[in-house]
Amino acid sequence: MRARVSSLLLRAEPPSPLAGVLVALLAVAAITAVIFPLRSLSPAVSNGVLYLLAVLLVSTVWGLWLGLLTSVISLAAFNFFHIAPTGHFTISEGRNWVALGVFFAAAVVAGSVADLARSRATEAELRRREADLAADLARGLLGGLSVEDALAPAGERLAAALDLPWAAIALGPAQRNGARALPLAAEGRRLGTLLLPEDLYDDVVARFGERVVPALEALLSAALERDRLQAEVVETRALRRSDELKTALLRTVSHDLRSPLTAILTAAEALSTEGLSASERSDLSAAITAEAGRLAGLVDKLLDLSRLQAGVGEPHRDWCSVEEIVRVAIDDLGVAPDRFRLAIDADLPLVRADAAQLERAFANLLENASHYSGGHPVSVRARAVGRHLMIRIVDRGPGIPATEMSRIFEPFYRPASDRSAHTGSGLGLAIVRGFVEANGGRVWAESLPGQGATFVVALPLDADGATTEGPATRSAAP
Amino acid sequence: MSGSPRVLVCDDEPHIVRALKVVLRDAGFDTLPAYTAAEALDVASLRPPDAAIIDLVLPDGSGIEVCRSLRAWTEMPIIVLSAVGEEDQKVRALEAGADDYVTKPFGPRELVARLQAVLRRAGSAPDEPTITVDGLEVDLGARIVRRAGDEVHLTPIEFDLLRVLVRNRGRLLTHRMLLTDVWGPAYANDTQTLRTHIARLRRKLEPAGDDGPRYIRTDPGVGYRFVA
Repeated sequence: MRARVSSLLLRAEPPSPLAGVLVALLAVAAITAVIFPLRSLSPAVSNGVLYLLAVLLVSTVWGLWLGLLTSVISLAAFNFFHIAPTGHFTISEGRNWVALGVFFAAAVVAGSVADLARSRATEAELRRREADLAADLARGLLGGLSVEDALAPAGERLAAALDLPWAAIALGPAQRNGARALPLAAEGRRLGTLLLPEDLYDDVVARFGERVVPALEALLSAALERDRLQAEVVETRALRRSDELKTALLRTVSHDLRSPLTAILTAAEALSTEGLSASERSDLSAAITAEAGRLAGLVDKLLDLSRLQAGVGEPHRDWCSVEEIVRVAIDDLGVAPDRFRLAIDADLPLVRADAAQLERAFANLLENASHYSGGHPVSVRARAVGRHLMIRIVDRGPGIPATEMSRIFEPFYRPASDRSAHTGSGLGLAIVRGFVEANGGRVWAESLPGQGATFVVALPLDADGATTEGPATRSAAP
Repeated sequence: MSGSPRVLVCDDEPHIVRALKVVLRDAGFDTLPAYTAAEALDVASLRPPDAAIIDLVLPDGSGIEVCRSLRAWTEMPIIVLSAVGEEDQKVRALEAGADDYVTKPFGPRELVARLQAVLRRAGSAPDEPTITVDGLEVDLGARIVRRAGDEVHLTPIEFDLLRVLVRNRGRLLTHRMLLTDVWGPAYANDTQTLRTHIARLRRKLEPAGDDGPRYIRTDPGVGYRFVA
């Protein structure tokens, strides 16, 4: 069974010929009935002109051949009812032969003209619909969606416009069972494939190749070009961003590594001078130790960050205890432990995460909080809330102005309100966010200026740890 | 008041200040420590130091501002501490009145040597008519230059450039400072002109050889200095 293709777009399928014959017969009968009573008033030969109406009607709708058939029927009716001897298909007078001949010639010409007008109108309609379809496909392919995403809707649109059961456009060469594949190419390059039902008539497919394929090729080529350009823009943007990061990194290295180095060099030189008191000597060597520790810490942070940015920070997840992680982080900080007040719920569930990464994240958060807390203890609270483990680190520092809330987790961001140039690398919170998010959690800050800041880490309690959606955010979450 | 020259040292890193104090003491200087820009200005106005060493990045402002404030009332030599890659900052500090800069991390001996150089220059009589440096004799009054006793012919503009460099010998002069002094403010950004004239001056004055310039040293991206 061949697919039905009634759409005007591909082929103007004429109305049923049987109907044409019927209409021809009825029209001739009606005209005969109209002019029969007039035969006493005007000469039958002139009334015969009315039969041309039937010929025009049938030619316009059903084409030239049925038009000619109508001419012949008209001729017969004319002869039978109006030309003497009436009631017979014979003609007695020679001049009536001439009249019939003239009538037939006029009917053929009228039929041809009507048929021509009909095909012109059909062609015009066809072109209009093709233009509509092309515009529609252009909107789909060149509009907002990427080519990949736009292909399926474009196929559906094509099928609807052509009244096909289905149609599909694929990128590159493609084949499908029960499908006919028409290659789409531009400038000698294969772009894609138009897939159509296999059971289409050959002339329909030929028409496709002639009318639809070229437009589709041009559109697809333009859409792919647009996609390529867009990808380039995105890539350029990413490169620029990575350039900015590198510049910031250089600045950090330039400044933050140089200060401790300067202190170490100067203290070492000072140690080699004469006449040092014992307290000066121990002060200088303590300075060297402290500054070397600072350097090591900064190198750690830079490594963490570059690991995160290179995407090699893939977490090794295992069941681990947040309490243990927080305690290790505090130990590693080398700050007096009484700077922190822990309030961790007993029998807190375990989380499935990379313990080492979380330890780095908490170490940075705790260091940050203890730095800004101005000597006040930092409180660390942890409890399970719904499907999340919430850890809140609360300091009593100056707080974070609302304007900076959204930026504090950016690498190398240093708050404008923090004018002391050497207090932080601007890397800590970026590392926190990187590691927390790598482990399926979220981190954000809450703060009222002047009332300290709270950093909240929400870790998923689901076994797969795949939850990325955090709990409702109560403040500017980054 | 002791006989040792006093040096104001301003850096927000206590470790650096304390270690520098020991190093400077060893070199015969007394240190007046300060950790912020405000403190530096306070200390300097209470006990005017003989020289100052100021970090460019301070918690409450920029070392450049400190230079500018100090220059409002004192001609004492100022050395700024900066990080590499901060050429703009260096230029701005020099134009704000700093005499020299040292890049972190620095060898403390280098800092002491620079400090002694700027102090020597500041101590030398400013109105000498003839300056002799390492075989080069510049007679500012007669506008005559002799190298190893032989007169060197300079164009008027070359002589003016040399005069500015020599009168500030030991001090790093930025491109803009030299251009403004010799050509006028309208030429302040015309570094190409400056480079051309420096090259000519070197051809006429510097001894031939591959040892690099003996008299006029380049500080890339910042300016030139005539050796002290």
